[in-house]
Amino acid sequence: MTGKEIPIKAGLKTRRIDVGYLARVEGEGALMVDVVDGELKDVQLKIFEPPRFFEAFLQGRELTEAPDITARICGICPVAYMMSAVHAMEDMLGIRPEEGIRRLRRLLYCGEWIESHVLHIYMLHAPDFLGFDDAITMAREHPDVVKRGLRMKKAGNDIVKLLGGREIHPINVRVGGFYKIPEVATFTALLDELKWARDAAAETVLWTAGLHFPDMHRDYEFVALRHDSDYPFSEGRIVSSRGLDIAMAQYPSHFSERQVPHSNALHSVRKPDNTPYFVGPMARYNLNRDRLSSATRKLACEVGFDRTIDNAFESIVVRALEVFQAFDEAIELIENMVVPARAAEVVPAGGGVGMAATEAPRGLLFHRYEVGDDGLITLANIVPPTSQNQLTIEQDLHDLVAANLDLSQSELTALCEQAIRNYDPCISCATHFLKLQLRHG
Amino acid sequence: MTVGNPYRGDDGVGPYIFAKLSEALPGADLVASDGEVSGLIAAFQGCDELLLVDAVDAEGAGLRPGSVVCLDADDPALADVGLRASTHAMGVSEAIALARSLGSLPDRFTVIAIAGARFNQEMGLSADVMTAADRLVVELTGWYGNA
Repeated sequence: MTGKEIPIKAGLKTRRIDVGYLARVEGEGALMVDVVDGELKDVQLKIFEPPRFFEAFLQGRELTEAPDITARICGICPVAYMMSAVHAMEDMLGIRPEEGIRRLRRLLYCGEWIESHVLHIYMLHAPDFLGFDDAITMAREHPDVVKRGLRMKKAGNDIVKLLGGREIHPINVRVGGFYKIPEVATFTALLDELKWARDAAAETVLWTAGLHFPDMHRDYEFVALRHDSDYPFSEGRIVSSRGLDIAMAQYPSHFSERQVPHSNALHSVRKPDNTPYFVGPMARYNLNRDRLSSATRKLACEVGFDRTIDNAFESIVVRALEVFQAFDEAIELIENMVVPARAAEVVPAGGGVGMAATEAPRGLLFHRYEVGDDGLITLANIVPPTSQNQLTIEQDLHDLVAANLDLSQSELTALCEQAIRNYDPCISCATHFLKLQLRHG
Repeated sequence: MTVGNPYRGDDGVGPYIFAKLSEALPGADLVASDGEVSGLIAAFQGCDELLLVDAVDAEGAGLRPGSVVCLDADDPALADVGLRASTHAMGVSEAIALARSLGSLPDRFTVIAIAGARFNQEMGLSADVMTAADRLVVELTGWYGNA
């Protein structure tokens, strides 16, 4: 448990939940909830991690540098940042990589989802459900479970290391393809461990499905990519559970970012009514269940998840199903490997406007670039998933607190922290430099 | 085992020592880690004896830059020495604690912490840390020869 508790004082009807520093999330954030006279007045998810200026760093840099620069935004999902940048530049320049490159990119994505999701399921979120302060204390009671998670994560690391050049902040991705394609034998050498890990992922689904989920059902607008045939990684259209169906390039016409005083992260909303929406594993799953492999769908049926999931606490099971899907697809991609004729397409000279969205582990990640004819970036806009979910998280907390005011302070604080972790927020990704407007009289 | 990131100033002391020891001790069982927890714990397994070299924040640990502190992995002071944590605030200290919970710590496990002054996004070690690292390489090479 983190944060200080301010108990209800006798005679006063004011109650505050103040978690000064959120634990088991990436980055620096805090939660403030105010209840006055038994009525919930305010919920603020405060992101005080300093701005990181990445969009400004990109200005004046070569378009081919964008993947490596943006990868540094996040140590957990660098592949997503690289691939959104790569796809945006390829969109702008009309580059269409061959099928072998496309499949290797999907394999790299599998590795990243596994790394990120397994870390979150086992190290960050499961302790909430099982009543432990952290994974270290959980490991004392459940050593075999934690060992399973660590070994699964390492299997994901090994994919990213092989194809990306290293486990964290890969270096082998470039606009047009890869710098170097590893030998086929180095991929097939991973297969035995990946097959063990797929079985372990199935056990993880069964294990997480047996956890107790606090009751919280909300009417979300889910937003995710949807592809013609595949579970979405980096291709397709942007769709929503309320009928949105647009090309990636139309994203700015349907979504906007706005500043709020209590956060260094921008809040994303749907246009025109400034309504919240939900990105991430649950959104992908609800909008793309028919794109899962037959083995994943069968497993989902076994645990009663062949339905729309509208309780964010159940996201831990959805992540486990996506981990199974990622191992299942990684095995298929390696067993039926299509070796590219060349490591990368030639990048033609030129500029313009390029946009792309991919599915980072935490959800939709949108990049937009303006590039001059000299190939230098003049403007960059990056919208990470945590910014898009921030308003939804606050509304979850609002409903959750209002429905659970009878809980003790410590119980309610723990429930709120668990609810934030439903989204696996990556606060470092979400921080932006706030725009300063000076008015002269 | 050395831990560190060569692009974060004095956090690069681990990789620096790894490169030096790789030249001096070509047959030694050396591992370089970026501090990723599952990789660390996997590397701990199967070791009878482990020496782990990592940077610590001199200011946070109350040490002079270039100081070298040797601690047993069971030493409670390890939690306070300020080993550099990675994303999600999990690093060497957490990996050691987790491995202890899992019963997979090496029987003999010594952490050699080198106090660094700068952990900005830059390459190269500060002078005090470089001097300490070079001295440590000589000592470790001698220790390995005697062992």
